[in-house]
Amino acid sequence: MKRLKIILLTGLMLIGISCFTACEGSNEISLENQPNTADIANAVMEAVDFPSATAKTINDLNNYIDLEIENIYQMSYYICGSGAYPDELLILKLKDKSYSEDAKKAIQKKLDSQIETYRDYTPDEMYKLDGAKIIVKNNWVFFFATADNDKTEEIINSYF
Amino acid sequence: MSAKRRRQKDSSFTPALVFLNLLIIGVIALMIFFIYRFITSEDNAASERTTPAPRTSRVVTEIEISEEAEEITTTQIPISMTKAITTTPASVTSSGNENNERIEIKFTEYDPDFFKDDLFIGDSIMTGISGFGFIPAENVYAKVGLNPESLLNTEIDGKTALQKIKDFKPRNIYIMLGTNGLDFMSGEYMAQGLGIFIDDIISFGINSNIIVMTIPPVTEAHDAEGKETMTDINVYNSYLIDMAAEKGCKLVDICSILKNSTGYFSDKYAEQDGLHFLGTAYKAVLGYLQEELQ
Repeated sequence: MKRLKIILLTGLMLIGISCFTACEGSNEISLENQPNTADIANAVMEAVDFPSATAKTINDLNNYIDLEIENIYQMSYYICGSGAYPDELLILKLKDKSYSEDAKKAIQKKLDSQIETYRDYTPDEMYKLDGAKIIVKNNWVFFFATADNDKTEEIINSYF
Repeated sequence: MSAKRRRQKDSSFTPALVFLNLLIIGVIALMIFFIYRFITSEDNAASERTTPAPRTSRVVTEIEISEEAEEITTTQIPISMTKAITTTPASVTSSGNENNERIEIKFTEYDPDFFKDDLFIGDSIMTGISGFGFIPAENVYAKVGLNPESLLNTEIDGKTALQKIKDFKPRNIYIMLGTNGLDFMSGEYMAQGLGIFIDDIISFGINSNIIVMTIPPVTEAHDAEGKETMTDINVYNSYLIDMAAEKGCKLVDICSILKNSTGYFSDKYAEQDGLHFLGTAYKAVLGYLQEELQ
């Protein structure tokens, strides 16, 4: 009986360890099974007013933000094409979460520059930049400065 | 050992053994499952490492502009030989109406290749020419808030305008600048500032055509705000015409093609703020520039 109890306890421990590793493994969803950046971007564009929204490709990205393109698995990027307004939406799905911090720093630099530019140029638009956010979720980095930043964040969160 | 105890001993092992076997099988199955997932996720990650899209290579082929560059199909007129031309679009006719109604010109077509060796210099309005994707970013030197005074000392991506011109060696240089200064600088002063910039280009020995563009109109609503008004725009543009003539540069009056019949920025070209361009405006301007230069 004592031996049986030992065997049972050992087995339970093994199951527990297996479950723990299983749980850890299930958090790592493959890149292709993660949401599509375009779906999230489209959802935001449909819900939030974004003047002269112009989609930019990954080839254009470095003209606006100094990011390492090689680290990007997928992206969606919108700017106000006319240059009249500071509206911006960037959704990055990076190849690994280790790249997120560098991406965040680069975007923060861009945001700081925008704030400096638009503060005197169009003060009425500053609310978009004052409420702008850079959000990191594992290998995802979101940057948005829109007419409704709260709504944008709500939409993004609904995908995670 | 009594028979009863023997039976108990025998029977007590059976469910335990079954359970233990099931447990071991379950653990092994779980381990196999997660090893398999780990292996397959590694494979997926490897296949997903796509070659990054190539960085945009410059659309423009650097051309050593020299007197021998006869193969450039568009007319490359040395600056000293040009006469300032105050252009009015040929297809605009006066209706003879006392209110000076204009027939809106519709330029909707342009050839991007026509501009591939050219450089566009301007302010936030000019940023839109690449913002909307009409002209590659490499062919645009523009910044929000730029004006004829700040142009001389501002750097964009680490280069002044003159450095950009020197490095880029454009065939044509289009300059549309002054909207940002209307509120606090006189038209005459701004035109002089642009004149100084043009003198600097010439003194660099760069053999590019310089095309001065009049600044665009504003909508009636924007005019009413009092910051950038059609009165100031028209005054400044008249100084630009004189300055371009003095420097021997070509002038293209894009302001006139963007106005509506009442003399304000046409709604079909104007962004919500009544100052910046919609995509239609850039097409109109590019189409008009191409027609003027061909």
